[in-house]
Amino acid sequence: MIRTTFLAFGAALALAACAPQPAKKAEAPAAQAVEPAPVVKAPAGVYLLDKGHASLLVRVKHMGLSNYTLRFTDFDATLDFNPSNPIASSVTASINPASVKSDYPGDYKATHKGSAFRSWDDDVAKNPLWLNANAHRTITFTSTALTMTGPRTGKLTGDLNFRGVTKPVTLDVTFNGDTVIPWLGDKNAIGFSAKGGLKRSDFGMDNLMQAVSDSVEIVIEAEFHQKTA
Amino acid sequence: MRIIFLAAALALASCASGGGGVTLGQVVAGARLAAAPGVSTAIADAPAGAYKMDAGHASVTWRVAHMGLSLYTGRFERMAGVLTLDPQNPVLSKIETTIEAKSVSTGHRDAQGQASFDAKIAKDAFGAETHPQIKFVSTSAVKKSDTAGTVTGDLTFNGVTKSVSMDVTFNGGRTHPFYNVYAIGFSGQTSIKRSEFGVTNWAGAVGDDVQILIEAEFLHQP
Repeated sequence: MIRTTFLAFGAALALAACAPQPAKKAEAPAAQAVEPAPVVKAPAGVYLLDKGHASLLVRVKHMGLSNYTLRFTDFDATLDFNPSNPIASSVTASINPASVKSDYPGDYKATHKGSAFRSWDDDVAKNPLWLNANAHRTITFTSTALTMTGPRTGKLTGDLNFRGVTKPVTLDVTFNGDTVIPWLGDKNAIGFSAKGGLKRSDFGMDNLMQAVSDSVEIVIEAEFHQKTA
Repeated sequence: MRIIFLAAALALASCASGGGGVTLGQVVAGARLAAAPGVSTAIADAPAGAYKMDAGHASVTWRVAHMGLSLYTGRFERMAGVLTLDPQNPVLSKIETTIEAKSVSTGHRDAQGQASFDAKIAKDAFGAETHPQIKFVSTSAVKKSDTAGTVTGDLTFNGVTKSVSMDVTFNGGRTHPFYNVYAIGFSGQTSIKRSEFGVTNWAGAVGDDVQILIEAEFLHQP
């Protein structure tokens, strides 16, 4: 039944809304493609993170051998969305540092007998040398400026408060699109991808600098639903 | 330049909002690692023979377009692999990896705080109950540069085996400071069509193309 709804939804959209849009050619050379400004049907207003469709990955270089990949599983964001004047949009986000997940597969206690921590994730989360989550229970980001770099891309700068230190961080943000979700009462939904980076030493985290890079890569995928009164 | 437009996602996105949509490969482009001190990017410096995946320093991340709005991202928690390295002629190297399909993890929790969604997609998207292991067994490789190549192999998931090619970058090798054996690291990236493996659930809302991002370190087994 859900599947039928999805299919019907897709077909209805294709029929209803595709006709006026020029077909996009997958092979078109980027230099010749002039991207039109997006026609956004989602109205301006406050949007809340759809936590079930959002991910926050961080990657650090490990010993020059690989991009060690972690994620946070508990975070939230609120977006003040202004499609007609995007630079007037703003976002605030909060991340629970104790929700960090490394997917460490081994028996942490067996190999870290002296450790005060329950697991490698617990170590990364609570160790004062790492995320120091007991002392600083929330990582926050508050946007301060957005500059557009294309019809649907921009640079979003904001203040990141991490480990008690506040510094500006800039994310490259792409507006992926908007839609309505029929099974949520035609709720307006919008989606973004973002990536950025920071130097962890700027936030006082300089543990194991020989083995773990100072630069931290941030990869975000996030959908938002319009806040209903 | 490697832009894959997702037909379904694009259709949804362009219909709903007039252009755009989610493209795979736009966010993580297999970032090259700058050579670190003590790290050799010459694969010939690595000893020949068997290497075991250092699963604590390995990740398989997958991303799939969701309703033209975002790349839904998950990973796996349990995997293993053995690499047989021929440092003089790297294309003759072999790799076999297995991933526990039930270890798929989205980080999403239900209202009761349980990973019921992971259990659902393990069953419905990966066929984990009847096909608990996802496997990749290399069959050939082509060199593109001293540190990059394409590895082709048989990927089995959901009980279907297909040949898949993957872009692989050799990041470097060094003597591991804790294990005191030679360690080597790779980044890999590919995309597959899930429908070719018989996974067609949620078509229309979820793209057919699945981007796979791999980071893996391996330890020499002297």
